[in-house]
Amino acid sequence: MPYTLYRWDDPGAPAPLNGQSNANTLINVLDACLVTGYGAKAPAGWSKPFTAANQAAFRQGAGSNGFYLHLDASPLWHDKVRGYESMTAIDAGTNPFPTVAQRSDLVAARSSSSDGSGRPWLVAADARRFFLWMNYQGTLAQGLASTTYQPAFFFGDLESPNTGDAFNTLISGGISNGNSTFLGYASHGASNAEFMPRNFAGTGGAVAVMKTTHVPFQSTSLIGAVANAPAFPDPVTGSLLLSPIEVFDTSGCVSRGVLPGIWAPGHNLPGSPGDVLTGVNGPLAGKRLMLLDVAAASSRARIALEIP
Amino acid sequence: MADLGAVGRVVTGVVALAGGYVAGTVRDAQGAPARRRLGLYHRGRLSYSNSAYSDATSGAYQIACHVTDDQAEHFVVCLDDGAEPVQNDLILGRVTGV
Repeated sequence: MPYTLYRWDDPGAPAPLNGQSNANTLINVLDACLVTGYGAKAPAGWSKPFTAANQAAFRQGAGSNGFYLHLDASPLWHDKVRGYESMTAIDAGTNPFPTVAQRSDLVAARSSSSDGSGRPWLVAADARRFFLWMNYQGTLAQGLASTTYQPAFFFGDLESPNTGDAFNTLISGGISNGNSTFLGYASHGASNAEFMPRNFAGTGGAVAVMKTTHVPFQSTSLIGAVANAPAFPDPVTGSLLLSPIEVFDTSGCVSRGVLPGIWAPGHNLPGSPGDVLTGVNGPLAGKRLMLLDVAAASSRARIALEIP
Repeated sequence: MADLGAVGRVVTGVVALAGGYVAGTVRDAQGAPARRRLGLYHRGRLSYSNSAYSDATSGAYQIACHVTDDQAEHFVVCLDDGAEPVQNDLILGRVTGV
């Protein structure tokens, strides 16, 4: 499934994120990664069918549900975001997820500062989904290193147990001030910032979902920061233990699928952010994974992202 | 009987991103395969990585390197058999996991 990895420090990459109102830096980053490509990086295969001042709507590419992601860059510090099953204009979409009543302030963060200073970003994408990470309080020199706030955003199709699930698209963002870390949380109840357009049966409207891992002792806690988990590397196998991150409808607790290419370490903050580990043997032989922090203040999660 | 196709779903549990293995065969002084305890150490750090026993019938052993160590050099220590007269332990140096 390998994603294409795009980074702020690639040759020809779009400008770093900044927190100023109407800064279109996030829209520009997604446009470059998903639609146009830049430098030696081919685009992920999305389209951008609608635009307006400080707004854009991106559409998933081949093999996907073909849903839309609308971004509004007018706020300070973050873009407001919302998914739609279909759109006919930048301000005309049907079947939003979430609905405004469910969440009026779902956001993808840019920067904690409004002084225009740049923030590192990273996008992992294919035609069906993308994962966005940003160092919300980190300088360009700090790069992938751990800082106080490192939100993440995901939009796209899950790997679903039901290949006929035409609504298996997840939007996972933050709320209000954008520095929250919902992608890094395992929960046994409806998330405040993670929604899908319909339930597993394809009926009704947008639903808040929950997600968890298969790591022993994970409970409702931060992913990759599991107290009582084995030391890293695993003392028995020398390996990095990993679990899929699985998303569920809250009603009936049925699985909607797993986050493709994003794994939950079965340890307590293993390694360091930015570490790249290569599988040599076993079921993940040949795969390369990058450790990344998804953090908010003292709430620090660590995920493992499949990279080329 | 009707073909129901694929039924059920395999839920992937916890899996391991594993590094390389160091493998070999242990033989005793007479050249016969032997069961011995072996330790794997990181050469640069002089630190313990893992251990294993060789198989009594084939003498084969396999020890997992740490996934963090990539292609780092290791050395293997093969302990002598405690039931026999004391011998120096054996060292196989500068090996990397594959």
